[in-house]
Order: sequence, then structure tokens, then C-alpha cells
Amino acid sequence: MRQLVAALTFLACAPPVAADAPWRFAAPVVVAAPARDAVFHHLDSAGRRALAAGRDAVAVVYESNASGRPEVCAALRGHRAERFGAPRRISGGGDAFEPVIVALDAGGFVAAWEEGGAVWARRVAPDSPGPATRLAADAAQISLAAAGADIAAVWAERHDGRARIVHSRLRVDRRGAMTVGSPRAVDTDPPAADQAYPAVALGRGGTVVAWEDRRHGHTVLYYSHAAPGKRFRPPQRLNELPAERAAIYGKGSGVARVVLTALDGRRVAAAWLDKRDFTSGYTPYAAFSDDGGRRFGANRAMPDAFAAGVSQWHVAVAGNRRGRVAFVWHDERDGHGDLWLSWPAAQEFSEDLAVPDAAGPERHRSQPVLAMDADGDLHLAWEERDAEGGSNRIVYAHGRRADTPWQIGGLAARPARY
Amino acid sequence: MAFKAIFRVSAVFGVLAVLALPVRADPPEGYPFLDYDRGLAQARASGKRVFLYFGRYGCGWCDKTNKEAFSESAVRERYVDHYVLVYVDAESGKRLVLPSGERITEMELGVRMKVVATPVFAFLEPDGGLIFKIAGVQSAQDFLHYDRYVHDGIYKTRGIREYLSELP
Repeated sequence: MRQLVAALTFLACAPPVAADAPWRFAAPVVVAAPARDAVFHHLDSAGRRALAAGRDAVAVVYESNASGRPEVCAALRGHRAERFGAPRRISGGGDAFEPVIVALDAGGFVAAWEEGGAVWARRVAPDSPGPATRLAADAAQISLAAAGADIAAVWAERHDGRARIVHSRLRVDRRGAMTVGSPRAVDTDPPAADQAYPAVALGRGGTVVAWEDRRHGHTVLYYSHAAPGKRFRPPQRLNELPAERAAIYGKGSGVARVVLTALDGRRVAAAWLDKRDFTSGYTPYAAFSDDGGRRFGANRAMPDAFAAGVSQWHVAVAGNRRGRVAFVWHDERDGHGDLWLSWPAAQEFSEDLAVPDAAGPERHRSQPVLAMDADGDLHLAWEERDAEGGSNRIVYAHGRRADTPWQIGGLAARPARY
Repeated sequence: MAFKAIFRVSAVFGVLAVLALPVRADPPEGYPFLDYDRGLAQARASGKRVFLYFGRYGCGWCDKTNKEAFSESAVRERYVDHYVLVYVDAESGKRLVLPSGERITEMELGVRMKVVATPVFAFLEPDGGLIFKIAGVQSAQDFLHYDRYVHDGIYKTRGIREYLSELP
């Protein structure tokens, strides 16, 4: 009897198995391997957009010091190919960091990165890479979003000693030539403190930009929406403050690294790292908008109870125009760095799913990035190392959509509390 | 899902390229805190150990520690004399270079060092190797104990918990 109780307890407590998941993952493939000791590849960027799934291929961009200095590389994999092609350097000759990439409906990609204290962009395609175009000087932390042929770029640009978030529209012709729209500050009021790490989503409801903002003496998240062809509206708060503002929070609890994605119709999903539960570090929170990003609903924590007491890091989001959305992050609840997926299920989020082949004690995984294609397939890349502090590799896995129930409605449209 | 809900209810528990538009929290006044790269370079050159302070912009516990512990002259004298002082903003995108040669952000350093809540204080060897770290509000007396443990080399033969348990 005791054995039966133990067995039932184990089954009840076991984490969800992959068979319950909306995706079936294929074996991972290596995008970039360490050529030697002290070679490091990085997927970090504003909005965590280092992976894109396009019409013909999947593209990963990353910063690497394999040549002896930090530069930005792109690797492409055709949808029918087993492996990624040889990485190609897409940055110029300067130190380059924090690349992002988006897919264009007509085929090909546009990548952007920071180099030499400026932000740059170029078309990336197997046949005809376009010339690199400087978007702004004294700028960093660029992120992109694309819808059809329309591309939105946002970055942090320094003026008069303070960084502010700037937005511009990009257009790329078939030869790769880029047209850059007039850059404009998203928040037209002069910044009272630094603004940083913007994310952008572009959909039928317009453009929404979110960013970290220090105007209140601690980091908060603001967002601003622009209807198609219109200017950005005054910024609004995205993250809710803890109800009891005690000495423990000082001027406020911490938040960091917001990410956004446009979904079907006018829906937009946001996620970020939130320290309102200060005893366990950051927790990924999400909020949804039903009106293109004019307003977001209540903040919701994503991880399940098995993640209580540990900090989560590097939350990323991906969605598609059919309304599917998924979130991924890295945490060490099992004593090693693993990747965990979550998605909307009924009135809350799913139980956390350890990404197959991206969890377990034999390696340390971190810095996940995520894309979702029109079919709902997931494309996931991450950094992986055999020993903490050692050289690392970039790994990619394809999750094919399975036929499982899917709901988002219960998570959206509730008013936020501020 | 019901199971999840049950658990939720019961869970108690110099080069332009290097300039990443830094935004900073505030280290305590009157201390010559440096950024990570300058501090580690100075430590290697001088042979001094490093005192690393992880703060967060707007962090209440950091402010309390600054006002109640770092304001003590005995703490200031010993820490300024004995250590290279390094301040890291746990939410900043400012870049730094680890002893391994890997270039990461200040926030990512917090990930690597498992900085969950701020403040976190770490003592490092001159080559960047970790001696020990401790989280949360500390008193002036705490800092004086840690200084003796590190500066007098007690850490080479005893763990920090053993050392603290033997204090009168």
C-alpha cells in the first residue's frame, strides 16, 4: 500500500511530459560550434529577436568572438535542409553586438545590430545580401518587428546625456537597398531618466513599443501605441507595482527586458522579468492586449509551482497571426540551467514544459530565443556549454505543431491595476 | 491544472563599442567604486582583492545598507584600504569582460553569479576568482567581520559559516 501511495504521489508530482505539449521537437542541430577555447557566441538582444522563421528558411543571428573580436554573424537553414549553412559575418569591421533579425513575407530577412556605438541594419538572404545601412549614431539596443513588407525598428539613442527610445520605419527593395524613415522619439517628452532595451510589435492594430524606463527612481516598463500612419500616444505603465510598497522595494521592485509579439487580429503579447516577489529573484510575467497595444490587461505570472523559489531569466515570446503564442525562459530549478516553455491554457498558463534536449544535468543551457511560423511550429535556439564559464555553442531545435487544444481568451482583456 | 492550482496555493515559498548606453544604480557615497573592467584590471595590477557590490536601481535594501553600514568610518577606511571596490548594476546592459575573456553585460554577470536579490556582496581574488558572496542587508559589524575573514586570509583555512559561528 505504501508503495502504491508513493507511486501515485510520484505520478501526481511529475512534470508534464512532452506528449502533452503542443509541439514535437526534433533532435537539435548545432548552429555555431566553439572553434577553440575562449570562443563565445551570444544570442542576447533587445526584444530577444535573434531568430526568425521565414518563407524559405530559418535564420539565426549571434555575436561571436571567433575571429578575435566581437562581430555579428548570420546562419541560415532552408526548411528542407538538415543543417545550417556556414555562418556569414554581417557586421562591418568594428566591434559588433546584440543582433536581431526578422523575416519578410516576400522572402529573405532583415538584421540589425550595434556596431561602433551606432545601430545598423541590412538585408540578409542567401542570394543577395544588401549593403549595411547606419540607422543612428550614439545608439544601441536595437530591435525589429516585421509585418508583410513593413519593418519597424526601435533603439535607445543618447541625446543630452540621456538615452531615449527612437522608432523608425524601414523598407527593403528586392536588391537589398534599404530606405529609412524619419526617426522619431516614441515618448515626445524629453526623458527625465534613461530609457533602455526597447521591444516592438507590428500588427494590424498598429505599432506598439515597450521599454525600460528609470524616470521614477527605479526601473518600470512603459509602452506606447501608434495606429497605422499615426503618431505614438503618450506612454502608459505596463508592469503593475506590488500592492504594498515597503522598505524592501525601495522606490519600487525591479523589472527588466520586455519582449513583445503581435498575434492574430489586434492581439499583442508582452512578457518581461519581474522582481515583485523579491525573495526568489525574477519571475516571467505576461500581459495581453486585444486592441493592437492601446491597452494591456492584467499582469500574470507564468511559471508553475515547481518553479517557486528560483529565479527565471531571459524570457522570450513568439506568436503568429493565427493567435498562437509561446514563452520560453531559462531557470535552474533542477540544479542546472534548463529551458522551459509555457503557453496559454484555459484561464491561466500551462504547466512548464522542459524543452526536450535542452534540459538535464550534462550541459548548461541559457539565453533562449524563439520564433513561431504561420503553421504554429516553434523554432528555438539557445546557448549551450559543457562547463560553466567555458566556451559555448549555439543550438537550434524545431518543434512541429501537434493537434492539441489551444486557448488564450481567459488571459486577455482584463483591466490592469496600477 | 487543478494540481498546479493546489501547488500555487500551497507554495509558500573608452571605445565607443564598449559603451552600451549604461544606466546605473547608485553605489554608496564616499567610496571609490569602479566599473568591473577597470576594477579587475586594477586588482590584477595591484594584487589587491576585489569587493564587488551588486546593486539595483531603486533597491531599498541597497539604500538601507548604504545609509546604515557604509556610512561607518571604520568600514570605509578598511574597505577603501584593503580592496579594489567594484559596483555592478544588476539590471544594466553595460558590457564587461570576464577573466575567461567572455564579454557579457552587467545583468548577465548577475545571472552567472546567481544574484537573485540585491544587494549582493562578493569578495574576489585579484584574478577574479570568487572567495565568497553574501546577499541582503548587512550591518557595519557584519562588514568588519567579513573584512577580517578575507583580509587576514582566514578564508584559506575556514569556511565563512564556520568563521561566523565562532565569533563571540
